[in-house]
Amino acid sequence: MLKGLIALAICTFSIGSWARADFHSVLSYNFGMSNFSVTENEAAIEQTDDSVASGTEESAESSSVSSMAFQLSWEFGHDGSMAYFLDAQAPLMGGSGAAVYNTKIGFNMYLNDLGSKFSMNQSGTTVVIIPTLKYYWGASVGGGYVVYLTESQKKGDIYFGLGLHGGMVYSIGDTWGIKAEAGITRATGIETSGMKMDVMLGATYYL
Amino acid sequence: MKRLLFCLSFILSLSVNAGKVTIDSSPADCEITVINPENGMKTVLGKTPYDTDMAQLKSNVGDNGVVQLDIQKAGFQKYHMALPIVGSSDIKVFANLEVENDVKLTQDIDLLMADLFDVLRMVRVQDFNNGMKKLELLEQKFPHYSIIYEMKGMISYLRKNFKEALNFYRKSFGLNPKNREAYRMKVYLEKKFNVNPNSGSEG
Repeated sequence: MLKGLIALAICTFSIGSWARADFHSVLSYNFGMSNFSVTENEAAIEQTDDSVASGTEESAESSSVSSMAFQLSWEFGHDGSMAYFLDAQAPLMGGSGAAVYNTKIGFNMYLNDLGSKFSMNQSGTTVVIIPTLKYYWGASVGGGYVVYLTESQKKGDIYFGLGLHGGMVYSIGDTWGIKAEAGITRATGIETSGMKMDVMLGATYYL
Repeated sequence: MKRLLFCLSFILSLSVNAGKVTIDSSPADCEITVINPENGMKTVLGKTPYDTDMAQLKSNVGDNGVVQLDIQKAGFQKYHMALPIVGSSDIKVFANLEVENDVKLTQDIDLLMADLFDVLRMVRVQDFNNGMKKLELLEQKFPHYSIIYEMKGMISYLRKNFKEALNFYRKSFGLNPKNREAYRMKVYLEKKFNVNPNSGSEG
């Protein structure tokens, strides 16, 4: 419904002279917890210990990587109810060298009327609409690199991930906002598979 | 559990923040009228600058998704737009009203006359360069006024640039055939230099 309303407003403004109107893209800086439960694939496990007799079975090891993480996200292509985003995540503090690096692309669907700041300017006349509180869910695809620790080794693996997430943003003033987001990603790597969970809190900035 | 309840109550408290509505204008003190498109009912909200919250605005004008917002003041063109009433949002409108066309025309002619008198003063003290520059600026703003070219012709004539003066008088006469002074000077210069009035070349 909102798209219609905005379009109507734009049409009204456009009569007679040129008007500039758009939804703003958003930059987000987030900090939070990232937890990656890694399980090695059976087929990928090789016995490297010479002292173990050949043929001895070894079960897949699992590990959990938890770290404080920093996430930078750019949301673009807004149409009022949906937007695309690019996202990069890196660890701030990891346990014993374990870490997850991640990048992904996806979309956010906004559940309230307006998903981004809307502004319009025509010959000195301006209209600005800023959503005070907005909720969203979204999905993403991406990839990353995980460093995890087993009982005896430190290993690394690249993975491909499919994720779902949800969050909310509360606006403070014309350009800033507080953002909270939680997400889960199903990761499939070359030698591992796992689930990654993120809980982030941060700030948004309308560009 | 207490933390969860706290979080939920915090989120709910944010949800009830309906947002602020700010309507301002230049000039200030314009009347703000909102028209409900469903029933055509007009509601005068007040005068700019005007501040309210979304809940109050909805109670005044209805929750129809979009309303027509009119901002007006005597002597200025009425400004109107379709304003979407978006819940949980801050809305800021700043209307830059333009003066009415007849007022604008009067202001423009007033400016033209004042500047032409300035040019005449410059001509009297033989400050032809500045006079010509001022006329060129006026020419950009008022390209269809024959008086400007007539005065450029006069300056050229006083500088003894007779051919240039003739061109300006011709341009002036072309823009306004009722400009008698431009016609008189055009004919005089054409005769003086034996110029064919139709071809524009010397005879």
